[in-house]
Amino acid sequence: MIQKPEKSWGKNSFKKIRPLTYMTMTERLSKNNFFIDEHPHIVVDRSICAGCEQRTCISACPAELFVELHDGSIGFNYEQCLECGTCLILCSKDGALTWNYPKDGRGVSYRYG
Amino acid sequence: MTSPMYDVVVVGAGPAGSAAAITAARAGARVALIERGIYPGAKSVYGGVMYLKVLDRILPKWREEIPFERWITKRQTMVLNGSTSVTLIYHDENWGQDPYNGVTCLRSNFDSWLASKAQMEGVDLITATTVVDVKFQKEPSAPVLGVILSNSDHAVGCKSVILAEGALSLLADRLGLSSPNKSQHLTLGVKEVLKLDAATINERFGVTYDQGVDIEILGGLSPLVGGAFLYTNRDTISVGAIVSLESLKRHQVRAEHALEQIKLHPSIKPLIKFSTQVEYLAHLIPEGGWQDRGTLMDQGVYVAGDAASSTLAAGMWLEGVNYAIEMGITAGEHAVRYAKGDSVGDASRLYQDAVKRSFVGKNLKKLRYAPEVMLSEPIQRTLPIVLNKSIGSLFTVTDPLPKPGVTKAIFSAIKEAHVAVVPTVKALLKTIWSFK
Repeated sequence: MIQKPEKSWGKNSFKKIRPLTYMTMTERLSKNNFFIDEHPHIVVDRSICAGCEQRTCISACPAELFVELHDGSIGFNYEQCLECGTCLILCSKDGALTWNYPKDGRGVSYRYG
Repeated sequence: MTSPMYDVVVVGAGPAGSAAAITAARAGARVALIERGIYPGAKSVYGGVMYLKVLDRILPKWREEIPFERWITKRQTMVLNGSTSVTLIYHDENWGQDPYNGVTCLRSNFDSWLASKAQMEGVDLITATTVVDVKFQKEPSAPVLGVILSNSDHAVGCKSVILAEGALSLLADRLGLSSPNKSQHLTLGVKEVLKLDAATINERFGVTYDQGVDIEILGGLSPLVGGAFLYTNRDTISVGAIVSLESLKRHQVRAEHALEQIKLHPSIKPLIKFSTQVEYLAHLIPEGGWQDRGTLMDQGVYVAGDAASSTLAAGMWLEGVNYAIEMGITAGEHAVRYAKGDSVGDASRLYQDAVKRSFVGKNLKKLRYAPEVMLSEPIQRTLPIVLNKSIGSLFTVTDPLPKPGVTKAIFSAIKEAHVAVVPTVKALLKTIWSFK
């Protein structure tokens, strides 16, 4: 369903999260070429994430790969990673993410960069 | 001791890496160009417009050879607010012919083309291979031993390394060459590529088959801070948003939702209707510029391109590929001299000075405060409101009431924006000063 965008920069617009998608992330990523690695190039240490309250990764990852699971822990899929590095830069917990580039040409292959 | 396999190993076959490899190979070095994607450009993302006059230095025939999409003949700056917009359009037919100005290319095509030029110079292009580390030895005259590749335990021997690995420079970070403040000035770019047949693009944007349009967009991303763009390729349109990581963290709003908001704006929506999305891309952009260049060279390891923050993100000037190429050429020249032991004096100093003397150093230094100003509140919030409201009230006929007059229109717009006057005037002066 298409929702109309809110008026921009209203007084209270700062705090709101707008669910503005007429396209789901699955649809958005469906045309990308991924050559999936057997070994994850990003490893999340969920024990460290358990003590994190900010969890910026959940809203910041442009591919929506981080989710909060029912038990409150962080779930992560590396397969459709766009390799941008946003999670690595914004993560506030040391050691929570082990971040390497995929090896042997694996990962995303952009055609329209 | 046997001589190492290569004089120079270049990490990353983007514009900086390939330009460095071409220059180094022409200077007589044995060069390897190592790319982690399955083809050059497979991991590259940019907005969509490059300015390539710098290629005259190494490939004077580039105008006939590049795999371009469209030559930019129309530049627009669009300022969005709510459901209204104000647009400034500059149209120059001459940009569509030699010597040209901007051009849209797809990076998979462009990077592959530039890397193939390096191959023609005798460079070994090694794709689908990630460089995981640089090995050093305790020998002050030749500290670099080689690089470790992801698919082999052995080091590939070389005398000098050029890191052109892009914005997220993991190797430069690990070797301590990146500026500690670099991560604070990174922005996230998300881009969608939309398929639309060429004839429709020509008609919608008022251009002929090989001419294109470059639209820079300010406002409309709220509450995120940044900008957006729309560029025409031959039969696709690139539309994207660039948002500061700091605002992503503060507002917990998704970057792709902000882009969706732009796409739904009444001024943008008709430009992209009936198109189908063919790819979704994301990449970091180093907007720190000159102050985030870090250590450009240490112990035989050179840094060039986005890895050294050589991107100009100054509102009306959004350039990166040309700076990367220029810096790559400089790094190539210097790395060869270093590898052959010809450099006189402090090699690190020489490279830094050469970068500083080039247009990369000069422009980035001159505009070093501009990126910060562009992301500040007066530009991001106040300008779109005041511009749209004042133009809107001037263009709206108020019969039977008398016309408001220019001053009144502007002042009531300022009032409506709830702007504190003194800080805004200060910020305005700062903006003018940072672009002087």
